[in-house]
Order: sequence, then C-alpha cells, then structure tokens
Amino acid sequence: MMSEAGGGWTGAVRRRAERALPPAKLLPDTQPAYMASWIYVFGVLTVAALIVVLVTGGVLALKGPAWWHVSGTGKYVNSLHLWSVELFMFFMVVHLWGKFFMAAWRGRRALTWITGAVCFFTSIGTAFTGYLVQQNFDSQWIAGQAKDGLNSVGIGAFFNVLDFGQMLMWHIVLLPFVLSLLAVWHILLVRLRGIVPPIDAVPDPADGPTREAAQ
Amino acid sequence: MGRLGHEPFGPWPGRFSRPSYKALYLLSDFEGSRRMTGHLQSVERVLSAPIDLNGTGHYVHWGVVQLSVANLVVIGVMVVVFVAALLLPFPRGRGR
Repeated sequence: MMSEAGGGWTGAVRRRAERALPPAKLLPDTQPAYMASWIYVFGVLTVAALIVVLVTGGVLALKGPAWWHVSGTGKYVNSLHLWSVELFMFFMVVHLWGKFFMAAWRGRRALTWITGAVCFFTSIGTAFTGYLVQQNFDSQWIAGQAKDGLNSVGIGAFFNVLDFGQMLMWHIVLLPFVLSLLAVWHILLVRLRGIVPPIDAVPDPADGPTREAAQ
Repeated sequence: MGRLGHEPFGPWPGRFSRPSYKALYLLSDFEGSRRMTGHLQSVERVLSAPIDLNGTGHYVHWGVVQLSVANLVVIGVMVVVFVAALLLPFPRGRGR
C-alpha cells in the first residue's frame, strides 16, 4: 500500500493542488459580503465573453473563409465572433479600471494583477492579428500600416504582418493558446488568494493574519 | 471628398455611381442577398439610417493623438458603465 507521502511526482502534485485549492475554495458557493457590487461582475463577464470568442472562433476555423464570407450562417457566426470580442475588451477594460482603483495587488495578489495585465496585452495582440486576417481592404490597410511600424523596431522579419498564413496561425493557434493558459492561471490565482477586499474593509479574523499584520 | 455609394468616385467619374456599386455588392453576395427577406431588408434600412457607414470616418485630433469618434463613443460608454457599476445598488441574494 502506498504511504501518504508516496505516489511519485503525480501524488506530490495532487497533494499540493489539494492543499492549495480544496474543492470548496476552487468552486465556492458563497462570496464575501463586500462583493455585493456591480463592479465585481465584470471579471466573470469577461470570462463569459472569452468563452463565446473561443467557441465562435473554433467554428470559423472548422468551416473556413469560403463559409464565413459567402454563407448567411457563416456571416452570422463571424459577426458573433467580432461582437463577442468587442464585449470581451469592453468588460476587460472596466474590470481593469475597477481593480486598479481598488489596488487589487494588495495582500500577496501581485501575480494575480500581473497575469491579468499580461492577459490584457495578449488580447490586444490577438485582436490585432484578427483584424489582419479579415481578408478585406481593411486588413490590407492595417497590414500596410503595421508593417512600417514593426519594421522600424526591427521585428518585421520575424513577425511579418504581410504574411497572411503566419498571421492566421498567430491568431488561431499561438495567441489563443497563450491567452487561454494565462486566463486559467489568472482565475486559479483569484481562487487561491481570494477576491481583494475594499481598501477600507476591516479584516475578518477568520481569514487569518494579513501580510501587513504578519510583518 | 467623395462618399462611397453617394457620389461618383474613381478615375472615371460616374462609372461607380450608387446603383452600379449596389449591383456589384449583390453580385458578390448573391446567395446571401437572395435569402434575405423583405422584412430583414427593412430592418437593415431602419438600423442603418441613424449612422451612415458609407462615408469616411470622423476623427478628433488632440496634438499627436488622433481618435475616431466611434472609439471615443465606446470609451465614453465604458466610463458611464464603470460609474454606474459603482453607484447602482446591487440586488441582495435570498437568505444572505
């Protein structure tokens, strides 16, 4: 029989994951009282919009450009993809403002803030490569303008915005993969550290000693 | 400046006037247009009336900063939603 400390590296990873994020902490059914504000809704709205972006993007990838350009259903899914991205960026910016003004990096939440910020910049890159693969005059114009900017900083040879195939791969493989990983990491960190309380909130003794008190 | 679909443009004045441009659009999207019902076309006309997207974009300039009016409107809506999220009361859940 395996000892409690045994089980190899898989057992060690499992025990560590269970200690850090027990099921009740990973999927809580109650939230702190200070979360009774609309400003706390925008994080989950961003995640919901991202799910629609990924699903509609997946359908577009399956069916291809001959479908989203000429078919009525294809145009509808293409529009869903565009407008869910618009909402995703909208909600993410309001979420960012809310977290900035409540200094959400307090209480050992710096990594949560950093992963969120990197998610934001990755999303901008993903959106820009999306504009490049529209296959219309707009995308040609954007590529022509971006080419000059990127060449001026010396990365045009590695990131060629005039190369449709390369931009399509960045848009539908590399950047969504990185963004999804970052988003999952960000959400797990939120669960691990908890939702940041308001600046003037009185700490609950049940939450344990704060970092400031520990120091 | 000529506005696409409203005035002739291009090196041959009059060649791409509105009717011919519309015909080009229908030819390029014949299948999709064929399926569009009269009801949808009337809805499209109503929705497209307030904002004419056929013309050139409108921009505001502030030194080196150039911003489209469309983006400025979105930023304004974001600010309004942000303030509303702070001020509007949040509904209380049952038994909490």
